[in-house]
Amino acid sequence: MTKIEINDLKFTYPGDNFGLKIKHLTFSEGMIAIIGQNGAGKSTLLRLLSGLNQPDSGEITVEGQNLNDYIGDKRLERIGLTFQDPNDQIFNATVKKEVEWGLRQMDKSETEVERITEEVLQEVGLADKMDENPYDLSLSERKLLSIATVVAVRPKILLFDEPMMSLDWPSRKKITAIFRYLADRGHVVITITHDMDWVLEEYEDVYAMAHGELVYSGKTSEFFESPSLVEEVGVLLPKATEVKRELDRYLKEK
Amino acid sequence: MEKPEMMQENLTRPWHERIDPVTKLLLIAVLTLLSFVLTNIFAEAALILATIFLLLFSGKLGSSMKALGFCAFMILTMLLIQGLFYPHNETLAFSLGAIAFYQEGLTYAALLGCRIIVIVLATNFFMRTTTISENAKYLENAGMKYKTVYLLMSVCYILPQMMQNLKKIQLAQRARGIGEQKSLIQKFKTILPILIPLVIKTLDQSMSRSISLQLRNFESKKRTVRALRRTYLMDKMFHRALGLTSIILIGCKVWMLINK
Repeated sequence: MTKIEINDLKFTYPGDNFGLKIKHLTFSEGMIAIIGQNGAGKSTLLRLLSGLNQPDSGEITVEGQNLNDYIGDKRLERIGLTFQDPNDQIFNATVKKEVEWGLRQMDKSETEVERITEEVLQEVGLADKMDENPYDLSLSERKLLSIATVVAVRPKILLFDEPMMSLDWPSRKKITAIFRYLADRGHVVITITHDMDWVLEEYEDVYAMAHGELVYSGKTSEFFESPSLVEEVGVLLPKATEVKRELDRYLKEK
Repeated sequence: MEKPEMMQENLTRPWHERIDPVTKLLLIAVLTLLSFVLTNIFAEAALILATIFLLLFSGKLGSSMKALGFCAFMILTMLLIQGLFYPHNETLAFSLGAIAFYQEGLTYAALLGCRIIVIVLATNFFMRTTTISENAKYLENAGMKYKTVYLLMSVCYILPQMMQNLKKIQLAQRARGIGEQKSLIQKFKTILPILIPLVIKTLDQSMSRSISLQLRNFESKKRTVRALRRTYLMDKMFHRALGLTSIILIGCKVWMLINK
């Protein structure tokens, strides 16, 4: 079972006042949402979890092993991360080559590479754009492509920084289904998002951050039912919660 | 007439922020020219000390040390080459086995090294105590065409922006397993995955900026110069004094070259 543990983590960017401080945090297999305002430390936490940034102090362990030892020389198989801006990660001449790139680094056979690429592009809805240049795609399609590059490799831990940003409704449904599929098969799927409707609908547990610290971890429904917590974290209420509140108020008045 | 709150703001600002960007640029010019006019190593050392004090009193000495580290390699190379091969080498300074280093060459390299240090430290003072937007505002208020100011500032901004993009892209590509390659050929191949997004992103940003400028009516004839929020300490007087000193120093250098 893949379990990520964070203990006494401290991190600051050189020359910056911002600091991330997390006493203790555990992520297990499944779908995990991290929420919070801009500058709360979500993306920094994701980068630390991916091993791209090293903590100043404290430790991140995966399956009881130090994160760096866990990654070793098998980064692709172990941890996948997509950035907010898909343009930062795209560089191949065609959509197909972009997805194939990661698979080829893992020395998979040619038939396997072909099969997985076609499957994943089908899943994200880019199969008909296989031979197009990634930079000719729309922003949302590029976003789907960057997600496809990570999903194709099937790492144990998948980290997504705002994957739903700029996606239309059908694409969101496809991505949610992929995340759910991976989570059900023992992957840790950690997502940063500002879409509270999606969080309430799809995530049983939520991790909320504010000012570089974890301020809540627990049931999503309980989080949104606490006005003080929602205010502290600085997120919008999901529409369903707002309707429920209005309904409760109406019933009370009656 | 300065508004009272503006006067208050000017008083609370550190001294280096109360000096205008053009004065600082002229100061770099004077220090650089002075280092070329001086031929005595001790005078050059005094000049270095002056620039160090300049940085020390503005609280920027620590952050300028990296630049000095960069110079050190260059100066060492010069000392080595000139100490061995300077055409006027005559007096032996010391020898390491069969390799002889000469006093004339070492002095000449030390002089050049001092000049480099002065230029680097003085430039650092300017870079670390002024912002690009402050320069733009000042130049526009001084009467420079806003299009020219924008062009100049865009050039100044493009490098830090590209560096920022580069850092982000390198990190993003590392997340895709780039940079983990072991052989030299594999490492060479990793340049493209970083270069392609970097070039495309930079071009994209330039395009977005030009579109947004058009949308915001950059070409408008009605555009007015934004009033300076800050006032600077005797800026006109400093300009004249430093400008005159620069001309005198250029004259001195030309005179020295003619009478060589």
